[in-house]
Amino acid sequence: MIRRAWAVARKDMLIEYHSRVALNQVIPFALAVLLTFGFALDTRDQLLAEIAPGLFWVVVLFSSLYLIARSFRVERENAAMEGLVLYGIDPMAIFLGKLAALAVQMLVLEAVAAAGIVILFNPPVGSLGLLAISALAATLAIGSIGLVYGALSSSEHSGESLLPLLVIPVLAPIVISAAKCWSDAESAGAGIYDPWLKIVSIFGAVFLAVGAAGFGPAMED
Amino acid sequence: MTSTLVRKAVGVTSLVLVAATVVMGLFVTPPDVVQGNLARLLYVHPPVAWVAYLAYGVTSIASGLYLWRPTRSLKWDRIAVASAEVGVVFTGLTLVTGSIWGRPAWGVWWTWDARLTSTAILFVLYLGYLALRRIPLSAETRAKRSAVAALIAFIDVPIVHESVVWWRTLHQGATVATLGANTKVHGIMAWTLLLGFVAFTMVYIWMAMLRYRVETMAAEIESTQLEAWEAERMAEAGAPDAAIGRLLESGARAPKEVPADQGATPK
Repeated sequence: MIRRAWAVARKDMLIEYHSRVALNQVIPFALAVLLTFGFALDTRDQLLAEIAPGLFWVVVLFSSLYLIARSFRVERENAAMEGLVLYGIDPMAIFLGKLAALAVQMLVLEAVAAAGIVILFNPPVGSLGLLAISALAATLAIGSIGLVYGALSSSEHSGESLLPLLVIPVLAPIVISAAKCWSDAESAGAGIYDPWLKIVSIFGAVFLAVGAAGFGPAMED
Repeated sequence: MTSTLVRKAVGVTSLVLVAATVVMGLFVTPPDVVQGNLARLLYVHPPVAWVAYLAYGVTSIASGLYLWRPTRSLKWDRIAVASAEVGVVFTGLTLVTGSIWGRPAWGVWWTWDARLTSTAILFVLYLGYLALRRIPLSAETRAKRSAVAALIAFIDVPIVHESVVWWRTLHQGATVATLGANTKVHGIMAWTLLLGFVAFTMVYIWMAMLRYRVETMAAEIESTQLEAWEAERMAEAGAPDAAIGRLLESGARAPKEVPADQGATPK
């Protein structure tokens, strides 16, 4: 199963390598949104630094929705997903493979967005470790839930505006806990024993399990 | 038609009970010592919120029963959607009545209290569930997908609630007294509150029954429509030679035989 998951992940990464949608469209979009926050909030430095954790996760969540929608668009074209199923690939392998490819793209997006936030809004950074681990947990949660709802809402007739409506409320706990982790990571004394890191990790594990359990039934019609 | 009779009886009962709640709540019960007439919302707001939770509970159970193979039946799907729609209406009412109470009691329409926030998320969550159901799909596919979505929502609700509670309590104390905490509910007021719970639960049952009926009728119309189309096609196919003759005359090539399995929609 690991080999098949790896093959699916490799396929998705190759598609990204050739199309560069994440690199050329989604990441620049995230940066454009960061700049827009600056204009819209009237470049009040103190305010921007204070709300940086929340801004970061809003930008990442919204940008990730494009990556998730993209991850399903490539499967819908030429009924590629049916092809994978007909090859006898376990839905779990498809889920893990797509999640891995999605997570890699999201982590790159997060690294760029975080750098953008730190440079543009200048929040203090106390603990990089706390930031990195909480981001990883949140990424797995967003990716898992995104994949399930991507499969649920995948249809010729559904607009892509449905996916955000489905995903955003479900992920509210992740946005809350991940943004709290970043807030805590701003103080110099913060570390990986932060209580919010525990919370975001537990949520990450729960959503990963929900995603793994729900993806199969959501995908097979 | 016993089901029609039952529905009518439930409808009449719920209307009478709601009317009784209105009379009791507005005219019979005394104003509250602390909150005055404002406390009269107590007879509406908690029952409405209870119905919202009840409705989502029913949706979750029905969705689970649909997903479980031994009990799989589109009946459960219809119950799920009927209940969820009523649930969304009552969640909306919960938020509205809460706001109406909050404005004079707390001075604001909205506050980021844990309970309010999780109710708002619940509202959007099930709006998404209903939007998902609007995708045109076969009845079975839609039932399966929406059942998965309903169960994810069911798992998500306690997580949302816990996270919002931690979110609000980890950086500030609970600022908002829960509804009724500073009110002693007893005597006629308690009876009226109980009446409110019964009345709105009956309204829920009535609305869900009506909605279930509409869903069943829609499914029936869809299947008779399909039969009508099928009959039309059969009538056309009754004169194949003439049809092919017309096609050849118009210069088109005779249609190739389509293998049956290619014509079918992929599963």
